[in-house]
Amino acid sequence: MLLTSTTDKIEVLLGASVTTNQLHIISSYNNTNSTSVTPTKTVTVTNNTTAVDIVPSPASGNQRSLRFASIFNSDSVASTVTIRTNYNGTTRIVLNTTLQVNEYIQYTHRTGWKVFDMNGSLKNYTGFYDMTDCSYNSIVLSNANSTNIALSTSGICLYLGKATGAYSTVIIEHYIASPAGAGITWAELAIYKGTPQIGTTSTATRDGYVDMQGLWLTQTNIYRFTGVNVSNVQAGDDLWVIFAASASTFPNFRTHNVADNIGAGFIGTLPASTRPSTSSSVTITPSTTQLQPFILWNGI
Amino acid sequence: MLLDATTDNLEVILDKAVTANNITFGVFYNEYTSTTVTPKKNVGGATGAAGVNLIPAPSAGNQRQLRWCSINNVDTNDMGVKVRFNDNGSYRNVLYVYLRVGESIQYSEEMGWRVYDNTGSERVAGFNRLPSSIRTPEWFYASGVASAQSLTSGYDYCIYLGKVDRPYSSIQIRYNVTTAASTITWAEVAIYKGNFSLQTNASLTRIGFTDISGVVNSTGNKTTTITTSGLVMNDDIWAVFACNSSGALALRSGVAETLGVGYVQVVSSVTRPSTNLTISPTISTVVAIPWIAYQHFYQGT
Repeated sequence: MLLTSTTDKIEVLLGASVTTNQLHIISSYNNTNSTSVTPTKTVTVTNNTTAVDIVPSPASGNQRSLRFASIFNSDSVASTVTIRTNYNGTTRIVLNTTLQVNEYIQYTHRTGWKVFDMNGSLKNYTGFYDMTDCSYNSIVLSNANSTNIALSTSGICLYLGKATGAYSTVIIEHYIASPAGAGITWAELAIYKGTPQIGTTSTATRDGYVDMQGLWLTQTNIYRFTGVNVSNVQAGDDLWVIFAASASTFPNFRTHNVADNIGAGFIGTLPASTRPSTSSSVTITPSTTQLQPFILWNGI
Repeated sequence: MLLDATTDNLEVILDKAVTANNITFGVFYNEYTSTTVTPKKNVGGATGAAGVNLIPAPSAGNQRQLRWCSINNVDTNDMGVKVRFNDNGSYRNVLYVYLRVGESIQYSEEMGWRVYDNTGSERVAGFNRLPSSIRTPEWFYASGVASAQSLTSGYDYCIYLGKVDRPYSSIQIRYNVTTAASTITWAEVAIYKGNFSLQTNASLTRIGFTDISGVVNSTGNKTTTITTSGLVMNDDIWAVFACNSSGALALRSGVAETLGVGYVQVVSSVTRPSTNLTISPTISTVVAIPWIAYQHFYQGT
């Protein structure tokens, strides 16, 4: 990366203020003018959301060529880091990523900017796995397939695990054993995001939902694939699928015949009559009695 | 990487003292004066939690430019290794990773700092599915059987949890006490690490434990946090339950691992985890597997 003007800079800034420690910055670059090449360095720390120079502007008639840079997360929590060029006030993002504790970004003139995890492992794109990614739920509680469970006003929340990439659709396969009655007023299948907490309630945010009223009112003894369009699922997000309906007679789904007896939090319920399409955030309460519908899911 | 002040040093520091051998390093760098460039080397070893110069500070008016560096764990234990820039007493981290025996860190001007395993393969993340935030043992299959496993007083019940993807600093274990222990001498849940090998008795080393004598004296679902240290990526970890009591503790369980694969192993003698750094369990085909879930945390997150 080259700076050729007295108004050119390479900067780094954070998405939010740090909790404990600013992130560590080290760079080395060559300062070149008509007669000499002078290796120069910057050793400093970030300044929260205020941009800090990784390579400051050269003097008039000089150029600066970046040779090496490192940004290390020394804070006690994850930090969102943006590296950008600043050409006379016009900024262009080069890299924007979230660094976990002890993760780091590194630049060399040969390889460019790379991100490494706390093991020193180069982070690698995993998107090619997404097209064939097809998973059961995080936990398989039995192999019995003869049990059906009726949906209730409390809905059913199933923890799916982490997304392996940025999805636009999450496909859910489930088995409708018997349909809802004519008294169904709404029925929805939704995808939420939120980190589960072992043995206690979890908060989740809706990322997409579909109307299931027609399907759950008419289908019997049949597997169905339902695609839920999602708007902001990124790799590493914890995903939940939520079945919910309001009906006088609820649909039945094929389930495993054992509940999450230890209340770990894989299966939960909602406050009564919670409707996903009108609830952008929900509280999921672990259940030790709620049976888990058979599902298969696929993020694409 | 450039050192251009008499107070600049590039250092390596370990997270504990070595056991048998120093962590060795070799460094090549160029020394620049106003008129000359002189290639130099520095070969040495790090012994513990005191910074050792990979490149010492240059003389006034000189510069030192790192060209190549290799840091190797030739000790007999895993080791946390940090490379840092000492800017006149202000330390700026470059990387901080755990190396197994035989693993290495290498720097080149072209590639920067990289980590290699003991086969020479570069560590690369992301080929595997990210682990869920709450997990059961990776082989877990509960079955429709709602049984309970009574723990023989003082025995260690070891349950294989799988491999870790990072050096976790704590692990929460969720389990269900179906029969409370009574007249408890001691009761502990521990995390051990040790290779899992098919149909092979394990050799385990403790990396953390928690007293649960005040927890398993009542029934119900329980969550216990165990602080851990010394984990390295890809370590095999085990949860170990042990309760020395006159009234036996029983845990909600599924079915036994009748194949004898080795997921469940037992130390069939009174063995207290907190006083036994290493244990040698044997495979059980009859113990009903306690139903557990776990959540791991790295540096608090």
